[in-house]
Amino acid sequence: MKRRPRKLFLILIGLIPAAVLPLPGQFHPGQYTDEAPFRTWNSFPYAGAAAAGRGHTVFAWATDASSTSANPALLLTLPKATVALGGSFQWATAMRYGPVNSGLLIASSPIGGSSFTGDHAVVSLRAGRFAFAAGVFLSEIYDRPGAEVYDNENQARLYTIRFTQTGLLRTFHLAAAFQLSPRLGLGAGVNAAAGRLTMELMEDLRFLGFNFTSAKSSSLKGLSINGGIFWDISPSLRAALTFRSPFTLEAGTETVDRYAAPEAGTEIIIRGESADSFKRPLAVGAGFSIRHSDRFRTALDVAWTRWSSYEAVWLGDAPVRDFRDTVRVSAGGEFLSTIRIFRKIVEAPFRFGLIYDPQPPARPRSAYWGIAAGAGLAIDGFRIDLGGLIGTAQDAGDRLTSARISLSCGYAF
Amino acid sequence: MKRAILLLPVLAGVFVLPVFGGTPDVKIVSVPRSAALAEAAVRLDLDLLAEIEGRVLIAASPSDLRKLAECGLQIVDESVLFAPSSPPASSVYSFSPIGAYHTYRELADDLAALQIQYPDLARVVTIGTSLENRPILALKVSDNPGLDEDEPAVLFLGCHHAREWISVEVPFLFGRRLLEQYASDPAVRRLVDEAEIWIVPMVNPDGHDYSVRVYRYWRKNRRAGEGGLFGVDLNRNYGKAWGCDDEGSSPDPASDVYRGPASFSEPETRAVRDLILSRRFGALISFHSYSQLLLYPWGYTTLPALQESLLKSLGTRLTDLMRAVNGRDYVCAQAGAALYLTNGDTTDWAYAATGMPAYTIELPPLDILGGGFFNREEDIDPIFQENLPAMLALVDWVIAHPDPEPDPADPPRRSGRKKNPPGPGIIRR
Repeated sequence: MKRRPRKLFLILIGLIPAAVLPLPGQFHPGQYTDEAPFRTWNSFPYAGAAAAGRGHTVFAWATDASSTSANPALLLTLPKATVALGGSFQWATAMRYGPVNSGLLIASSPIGGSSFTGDHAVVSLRAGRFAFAAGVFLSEIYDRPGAEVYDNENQARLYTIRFTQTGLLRTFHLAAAFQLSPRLGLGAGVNAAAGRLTMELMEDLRFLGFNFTSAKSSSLKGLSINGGIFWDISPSLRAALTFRSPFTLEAGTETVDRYAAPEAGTEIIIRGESADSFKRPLAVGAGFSIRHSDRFRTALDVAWTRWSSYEAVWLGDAPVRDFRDTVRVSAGGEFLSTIRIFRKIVEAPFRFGLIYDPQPPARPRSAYWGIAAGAGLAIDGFRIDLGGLIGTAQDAGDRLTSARISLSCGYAF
Repeated sequence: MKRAILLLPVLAGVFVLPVFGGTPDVKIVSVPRSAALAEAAVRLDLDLLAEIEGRVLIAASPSDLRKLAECGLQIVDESVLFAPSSPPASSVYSFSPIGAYHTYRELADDLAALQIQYPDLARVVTIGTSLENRPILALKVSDNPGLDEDEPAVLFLGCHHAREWISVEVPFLFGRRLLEQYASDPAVRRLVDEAEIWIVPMVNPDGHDYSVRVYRYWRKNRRAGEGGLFGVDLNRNYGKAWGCDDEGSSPDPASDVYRGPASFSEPETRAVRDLILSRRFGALISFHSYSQLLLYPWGYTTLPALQESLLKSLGTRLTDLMRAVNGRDYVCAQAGAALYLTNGDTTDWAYAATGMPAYTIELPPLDILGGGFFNREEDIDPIFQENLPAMLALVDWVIAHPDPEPDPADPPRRSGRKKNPPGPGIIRR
């Protein structure tokens, strides 16, 4: 047993500043696995701020071209040429991950972190009965709150242990849509995902004269397709179906374990590598949007993801991932008002939404309930939207929370 | 519009195909024979393969696995025992997450490969399952590995402590060496023909996995306790003098030498216990690191065992053999007198229960600043080579002394001399 003071094991973990370790969205006990996306087990990439403000309802309602990641057919409903950019500030708490509350470091309450991220950049073009889009999306983030414990004596650092995990997955997206009839359109997209996941644990036992570092780094890549249709059943009612194909996220992982006792002149480095993979499941969605009046519209999305088929190979082994299929439900609406700014009439939508987001791990079962709100301004083709979502994990026991504030802007030619 | 409606079934196919397109991966698992299993087999239409020693082998899809788990049945993944007929590329010295060292999966693959390559000499046996349901694998090397012959047996254990990666390699390489040399080396052939050699390279697979994935210096198993505390020190969980004081082990779950709530509370130690009691074991080595020591009972007291002279003379013979290879010194001594007091450890219990010589070998390096629980990859083979003659000699000794006499003595818990607890700078092994 290391005879360092026992209090080290009981010290609440200090946080490395959030700016160093960006951290989006929700987190709950089922996401303790190394490869778990930090915000949620996403089936579709981040939507824009307008969709976020109405509870992430995006299958049957496109405000900007970011909707192509969920339903490319909706490109046919956009103006002839558009550009959309989006980013977000994200905050969440986490309770158990890496060495935290898994045996090494103990945190008595959830640990929070935050980050600014770029979410999407998309252009779309509509020509006749066709529409096209190209863009890049942030699909997942793998960051965790940084954990650091240290012990000083007489202002001298005797001991330090530090854990960091960062990573993200971007999706490069190309899509095309075809208008089958004035009321029916379909679209499909190709998604090339690429990213990185890195984690490092450093322990410096200066009082014993040695330190060691364990670092793991995975480069991620995968290819999937997504598609969708919409059907304007009536001028006020639209239905949509979407899917994202199953795909394998290949991960080439490199590990380095390094021991050093500088004064003794000892250095030992052990390098390893493994071919890992994460089999992501099929996701299917259905959505409706209803135009109640020229100023008021609501939407409902239901997304089913076949998480029971999820499989992971990590560091050469196939860890148990007891996942269940999930059905995510979101609903939201938008009230469109107009205001006068500098003698111009400006559209000013106000949005609201609810989301129920069950997470795939079967034990403990948990789900996120979230509320969303947002607003925007649109004038002469330019639009800017702000959307926020705050959620709390239910049934997980740690009362974890998350929040995300998204900002999107775009221009329609 | 009509054309569009005609397209709908095609589009629907796009959605449906991925659902049914794949063939789920089938695993070979075993489940204890029970009425619940019989009921589940009928209800779930399970594909039963065979029954071996009270466990039923099942070819199960992921869906079957979920349903079996929902029935509360204890499932053990036995797929490693049904590896492809061609041996997998050796994970050692090539494409591996931890370099030349074995992960649990690689060890399972390599043991299975040895069984396939030497079917007349090697059997991989699951002696139990860990807390996280990993099979604890033993390699039995004998001339008739499928039979329980009336031959003396020798046991080599590794990796009670997760971070002691070298302790996996030495017993594994020993098993591989026996099999590779059987045909060409008459001395090895005699040992394999006349004894059963049991090798359990990784007693603590869950802890080892945690040391690979998360924290390299993890020591204990992965027992989840209250308050976010994890782990029982498996080498303090055996039944001899378990918890007799708080110096040789700790009642504190936060401690690295936490002994657990009761002796043999952990499935890993029960697996080793049951294996030892099931056969005529004549000697045992449990590999640890570091310090270059060969330790014999007792560990829980500084008083000598009744068979101290035998334990010491045989141990000294083994350390002489080890020193002769690379010139590296291993000190042979009584555990409780040489290192620190340890209660509930493997060798005390094995010696007390059977009377067999039971040794702990603390592999190199000598001290923490020489690497401690780290060994260079290029040092694995030299360390194995210097232990090899001692391991062979121990098997030979057991063949010559097949029936150990139980030690009737039960010395008092403590000697008269107060053993100082480890001070700062001492890391327990």
